[in-house]
Amino acid sequence: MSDERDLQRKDRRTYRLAGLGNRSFTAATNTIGHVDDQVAGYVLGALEADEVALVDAHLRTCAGCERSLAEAQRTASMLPFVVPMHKPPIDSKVALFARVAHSRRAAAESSLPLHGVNAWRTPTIPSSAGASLALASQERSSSPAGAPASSGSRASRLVSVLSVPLLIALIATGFWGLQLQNQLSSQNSQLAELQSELANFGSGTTSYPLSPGYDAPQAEGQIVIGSDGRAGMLQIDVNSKDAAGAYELWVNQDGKLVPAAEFTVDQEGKGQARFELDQPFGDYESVHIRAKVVGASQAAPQSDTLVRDSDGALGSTGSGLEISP
Amino acid sequence: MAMPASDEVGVPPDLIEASDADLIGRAAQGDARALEVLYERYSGVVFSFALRIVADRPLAEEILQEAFFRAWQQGGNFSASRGTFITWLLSITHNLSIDEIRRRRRRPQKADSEEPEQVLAAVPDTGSGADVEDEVWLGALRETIGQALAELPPAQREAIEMAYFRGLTQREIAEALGEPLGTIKTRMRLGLQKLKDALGSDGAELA
Repeated sequence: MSDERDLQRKDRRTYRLAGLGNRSFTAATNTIGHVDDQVAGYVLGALEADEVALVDAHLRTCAGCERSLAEAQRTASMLPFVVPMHKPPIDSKVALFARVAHSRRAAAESSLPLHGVNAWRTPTIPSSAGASLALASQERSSSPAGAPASSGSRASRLVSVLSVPLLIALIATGFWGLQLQNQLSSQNSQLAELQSELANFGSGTTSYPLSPGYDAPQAEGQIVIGSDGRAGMLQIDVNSKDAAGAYELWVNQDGKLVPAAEFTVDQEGKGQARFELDQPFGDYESVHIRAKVVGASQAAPQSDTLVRDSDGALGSTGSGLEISP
Repeated sequence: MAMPASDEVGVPPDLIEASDADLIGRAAQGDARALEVLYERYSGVVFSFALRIVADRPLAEEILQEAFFRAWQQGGNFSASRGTFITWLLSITHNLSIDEIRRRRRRPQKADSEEPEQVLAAVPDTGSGADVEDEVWLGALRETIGQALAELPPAQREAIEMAYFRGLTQREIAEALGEPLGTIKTRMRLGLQKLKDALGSDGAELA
C-alpha cells in the first residue's frame, strides 16, 4: 500500500512537470508580422496592453508563433518555484472557504424561483387574438337590440364563441405576468441580500484561542471565524502522538450541546475542520472539542480536549465547563 | 444547528491521492473538498509567489484567496492538454499580483516605504505547509531553478527578474537601465532560452 501511494505521488509529480521535455523555443524566422521578439515579454508579463492584443491577434493565425509561445510559457512557469516558501495563515483558508460556501448558496438560491415561473407559463397567444376580440366587440356594438338573427349575428356568435378561450388565455397570461413580476421582485431582493453578504464578507476574520481541557493539558488550538460570524475554521494540535482519531466540535446552544463538525486528528496530533454555524459565533455560550466516542449518543458525556466559553479562554483544566446537554 | 455538509466533514483518501486534474474537475462540479485538497497542496507555493511579487503579507493573503476562488469559479475552463493545474493557478496568481503592484505603482508612495527585498528579508522561510515529501520535492525544484537562474549572465537574469517578479514592462526596464528596448527584448529572450536548456534535463530528472 505504501509503495502504491509512493507511486501515485511520483505520478502526481510527473504530471506536474509534464511539458518540460527537451523542446526548444528558439526564434523562428523573424519575418514581418511574426511576434518572436515579443514572446519572452509576453510570457514574463512585460508587454503593454496594446502589445498583448497584437500578439494575441497574431497567435490566432500563426501556429509557429503559438508553439514558440507555449514553449516559452513552460519555462516561465517554473520561475515561481524559485521563491522561498512561506506558509499562509489559517485565516486565509477560512476566508476562502466561507466565500466558496457563500457562492454555493447563492448559486443554489438563484436557481430556485425559475421552477415556479415555468409552472405558470401558458401557451403563447396568437397575434390575431387581439384582432378577433376587436372584431367581436365591433360587431356586437353595431347590432341593433332585438334584431333578427342574420349572417352578421351568426358571425358575431362565432366570434364570441372563439373569443371565450382567447379571453381566458389573456386573463391567464395577465395572471402569469403578475406572478412573474412577483418572482422577479423576489429574485432581485435575494440578489441584493447576497451582494450585501458578499460585500460584508471580505472585511476580515477573528481568531479565538482555545484552552486545553482536563484530559489534554498540552493541547493547543484556535477557531477563526469569517466576517459573517458563522463560517469558521478550527485548527488543533493535541501535542501528542497518541491522540490520533476522530474528533468532534460541539457548541453550546442555549445550554444544549450540539455538534458542529467532525474531523480527524492525524498521527502528528494535528487536525483541522471547516464549519458553518446557524447563529453568529458570539451567540454560543461555549465551544468544546472532544474525541469522538464511537456508538455514543449526542448526549454522551465526554472530556474536553479544548474548550472556550463566552467570556474567553478558560483555565488550563477546563473544569469550569461542566455543561450538561 | 447546521451540521457541516457531508463534503465538509473530512477529506476521503481517494481525494487526497487524486491528480490535480481530477481534483479541479471535481471542484468545478461544486466539490469543495476537492478544492480543499488543492489548497493544501499549493497554498504555500501560491502565497509565497504572491508575497515575492507584492512584498506585503496581507496583500499576498488576499491574492492567495482570490487565486483559489477564481480557480473554483473557472475550473471548468482548465484544460490539462494545455498545461498542468499548478502552472495555470500560478499564472492566475501572477496576473493578480502584477495587476496589484502596477495599480500600487500608480499611487503615490510613502517616502519611508520599504523596498520589496527589505520586506521579504524580514519574513522567515517557514516551508510551504505541504507534506514532508512535497516539501522535499519543492526544495529540490527550488534548488534546480535557482541554480539555473544563477548561471544566467547577470544582465539577462536582471531583465527576467525585473519583468517577472517586479512587474515592469520591457519599456520600463529599458528606461530604468538606460538601454535600448531591443536590447532588453534580446536579453529576456536569450535568458529564457538558456533557462529552458538548463531546466530541460534537470526537470526530467526531477520527474
